[in-house]
Amino acid sequence: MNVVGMSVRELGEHIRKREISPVEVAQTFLDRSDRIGSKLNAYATLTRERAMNEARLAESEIAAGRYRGPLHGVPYAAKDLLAAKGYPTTWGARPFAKQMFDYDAAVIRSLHEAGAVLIGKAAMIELAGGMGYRYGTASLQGGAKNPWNEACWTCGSSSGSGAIVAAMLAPFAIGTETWGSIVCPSAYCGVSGLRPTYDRVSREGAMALSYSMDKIGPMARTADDCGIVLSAISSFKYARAPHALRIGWVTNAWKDVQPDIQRITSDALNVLRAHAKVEEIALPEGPWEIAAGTTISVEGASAFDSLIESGRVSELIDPAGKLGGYVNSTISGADYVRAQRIRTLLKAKMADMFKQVDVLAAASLPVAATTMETNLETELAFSDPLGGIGNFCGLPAISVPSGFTSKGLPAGIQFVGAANDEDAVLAAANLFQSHTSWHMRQPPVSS
Amino acid sequence: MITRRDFFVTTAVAGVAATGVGQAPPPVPPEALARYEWILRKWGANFTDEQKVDIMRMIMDNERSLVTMRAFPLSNGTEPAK
Repeated sequence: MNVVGMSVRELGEHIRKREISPVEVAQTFLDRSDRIGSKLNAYATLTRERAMNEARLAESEIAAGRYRGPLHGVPYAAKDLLAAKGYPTTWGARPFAKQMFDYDAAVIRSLHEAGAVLIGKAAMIELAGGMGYRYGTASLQGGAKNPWNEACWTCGSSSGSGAIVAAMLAPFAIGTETWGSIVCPSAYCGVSGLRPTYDRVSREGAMALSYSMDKIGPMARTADDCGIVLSAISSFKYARAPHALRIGWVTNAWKDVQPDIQRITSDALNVLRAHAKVEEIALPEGPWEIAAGTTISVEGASAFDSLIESGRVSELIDPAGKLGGYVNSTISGADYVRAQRIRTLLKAKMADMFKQVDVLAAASLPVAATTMETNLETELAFSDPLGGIGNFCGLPAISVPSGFTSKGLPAGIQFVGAANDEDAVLAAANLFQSHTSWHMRQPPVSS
Repeated sequence: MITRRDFFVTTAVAGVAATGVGQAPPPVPPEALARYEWILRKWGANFTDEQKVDIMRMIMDNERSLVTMRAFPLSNGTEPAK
C-alpha cells in the first residue's frame, strides 16, 4: 500500500483497521524525508530513534485494542522552535544551534498522547523572523526550496513545515504564525494551513517571539486534516458537519494582484458563490498593520533582549536580522501602549463585522512563490491588512490551495473567522475543498 | 564608529538618491537621530559603516510608521487590549 500522499484521515483509518503497520509507515516517511528532505532544506533534524520507538508503541497498543484516535501511528514534523526532549531545538538560528531541552513542548506532548509519531524537526526562518529578514535564505538550514519549483522559496517562517507537507515527507506538520508564517507557506507550497485563535493552543515549550501574537497550528493536505490535528493539540472539538455559511468577500485585502492570481481567485469566488451566501465587505481603515508590527517588534526585542544585549544577534545569517533587534529595542513604551489601545478599538470593529458574516475570504497572497534571491523588503513590501488585522486580533484563519499559475505554482485562498470560531473557518475550507481538487495535486519531487 | 559628520553625509547621499539630484535630502527627525545615537553609543562597536547606514534607514522607516500611528485618534478612556 502506498501511503505517501494520503491524507491524515485516510492514513489513520488504514492504521486503525490494521491494514498497515505504523512501523512501516514511519520507516517509509523517514526514508523519504532523509532522501528528499535534505535536497529541500526542509528539516533541521530527523528524530529517527524517537520515531521508531513511538511507531512501535503505536503498533503494540493498536494490536492490543488500545486505539487512541485518528492520529495514532501517523507521522508528523514539528517546527524547530518546539522543544523535543533529546534533540536539538535550534530556533533556526546559529546562536542556538546546539540548544537542547530536557522536556517536550506541550504540543508535542499532546501529539504523543494522541499516538502521533514525531519523525523530525522542521526547518524554519531564524527566530521565526523576529529580528526581521530580507531573504528566504535566513535559516540555519539554508533556504527551504519549494517542492513545486526548487528555484522558488517556500515562504516563512514555517518554511520547512510547508516543504515537508507539500513534498509528502510527512502527512502533517506543526507550524507557528505571528504574522503570516502559516498562511504564507501554505499558499506558496499548495497545502492547507490553519492558524488557530490566539491562546487556543498552548505555547509552553515553544520559542516566544511575540507573547501576545504567537499561535501554533497544523499544516496538512486538507482542511479536514487540520481540524483533526487541532483537536489533538487543543480543547477544540472538531466535527466535520455541513454549515450554512455567510461569507464576506474582502474587497480591500490586496492592492496589486498578479494576473494569474486574479484569475485563480476569481474562479475560487465563483465556487463559493455557487455553494454559499457571499457578500462583499471592506475591512476598516486604520493603522492596524503599523500597530501590529510595533507590537511584534517590541515584544520580540524583549523576548530576545539577552541576544541583542550580548551582541550575539550579529551571528544571525540575514543582514536585516543582524540589526533589527537593535532598532526595535528603541521603540518607546508609549508607542507600544498606543498600539495596544488601537488593538482594543480594532477588536471591537472586527467583532461587529462578524455579526454580519461567519467568515471573511480573500486570496491568501497577491503573488505566487518568489525566487530564493528575492529581496523581501523591496519586492514583497505590499500591505497585508487582513493578515495584520487577523493576527493582531488573534483571529483564526486557514489557507487552502485554490489553483495554479501558468508556471505551475500554487495559489491559496484564505478564510478568517471570529475569535474561537474555528468551526466556521474549517467549514468554509471544507466546503471549498469538497468542490475543488487543487489540494490533491502533487508536486514533481523525485521519489 | 561613523562620525556625526559622516552620518549626515550618508543621509544626504541617501536622500539625494531617493529624491533626485539637486533636491534637498529629507530632514532627520530629532527622535530618529536620538535613537540612532543611542544604538551607536551602546553597541556601535558591533557595526560596520554599511550597517550603520542600514540602521539609520530602518529607524527612518520605523519613525514614518510611528508618526502615522500616533496621529490615529484615541480617547483617554481607550484602554490597552487585554
